[in-house]
Amino acid sequence: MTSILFVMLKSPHENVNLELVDELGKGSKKAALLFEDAVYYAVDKKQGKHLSEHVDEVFVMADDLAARGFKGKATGMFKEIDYPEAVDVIMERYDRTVTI
Amino acid sequence: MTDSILFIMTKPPYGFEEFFAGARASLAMLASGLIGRSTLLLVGDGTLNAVASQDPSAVKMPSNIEAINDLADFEGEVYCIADDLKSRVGEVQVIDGVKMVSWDKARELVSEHQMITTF
Amino acid sequence: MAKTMVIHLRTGSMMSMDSNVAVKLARAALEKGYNVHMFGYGEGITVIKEGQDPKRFPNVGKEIGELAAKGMTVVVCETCCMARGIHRGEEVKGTKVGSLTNDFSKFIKEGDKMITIAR
Repeated sequence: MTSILFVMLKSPHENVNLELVDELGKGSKKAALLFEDAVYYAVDKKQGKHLSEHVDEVFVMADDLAARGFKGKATGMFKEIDYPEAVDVIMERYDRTVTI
Repeated sequence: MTDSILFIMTKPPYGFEEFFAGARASLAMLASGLIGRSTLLLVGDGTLNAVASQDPSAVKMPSNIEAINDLADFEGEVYCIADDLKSRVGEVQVIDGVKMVSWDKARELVSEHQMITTF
Repeated sequence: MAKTMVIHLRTGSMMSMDSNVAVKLARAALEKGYNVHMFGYGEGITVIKEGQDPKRFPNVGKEIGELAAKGMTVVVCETCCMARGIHRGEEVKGTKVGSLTNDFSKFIKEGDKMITIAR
């Protein structure tokens, strides 16, 4: 089964198509990798819960979260990572990346 | 080493250059002779690029219809999520050669292609 | 043989932090021993323009030049450059103004994984 890493850059309140995550990822192992304003999913309870219902794990760029005032605030399935780990996630842990 | 790439098209026509740019990139893969399979999958607002009655001359933009026809010349495949288009504009005629499909087929395409990019 | 990451960048150097994300990913991948190919398309071509001089933000052009010196391959679309008035000879040293057909397709062929950075 193909595993998919969904790459997200935009704020939860921008036009983000989580239907694509649901539909393309159905039956697959899937995760989200959050950069820039997408890291707000980690601290926005409503939107974060919504995202967590669509994927199996969520990686959050720690520097982007810290820059926005929420260093160390990612909890539950939201895991703060650095760039070397992001490279691991992209190159070794998932079959495909899909930017949404 | 990669021999296949899927272009997921998410943007509507003529407000953005994304569809035209993505179609041209897909065509380039086939024209290069290096990539065996380069496929478009239209989803969400991207399905609106399949509408046959579009008239880019009205806004003096390059034609997405021609871009799709050029792909067909290189045996490039173009798929469109039928439900997404219908939910936006109802039943409309689509450009010849565009295959209307379900999400089951879209998931097959994801598995069949080694790389995916989004426009 | 080291795996290859392809970074497909379509956001401009000062539009958002996307180009900084691309640079940080590229740097981390190179430091971990991966090959990195970066292709700039659409607005993404602006990252290779020589002479960028942001007063308060990271200098993406300079950083990309440094990564190119460390082995990253950087090519941008010539058609997109011409559309924006950027010409061969104006690129950061170590980067190249090239094409979808000759360069991007080669990157895809050689690549193991691709990340698209675009809006």
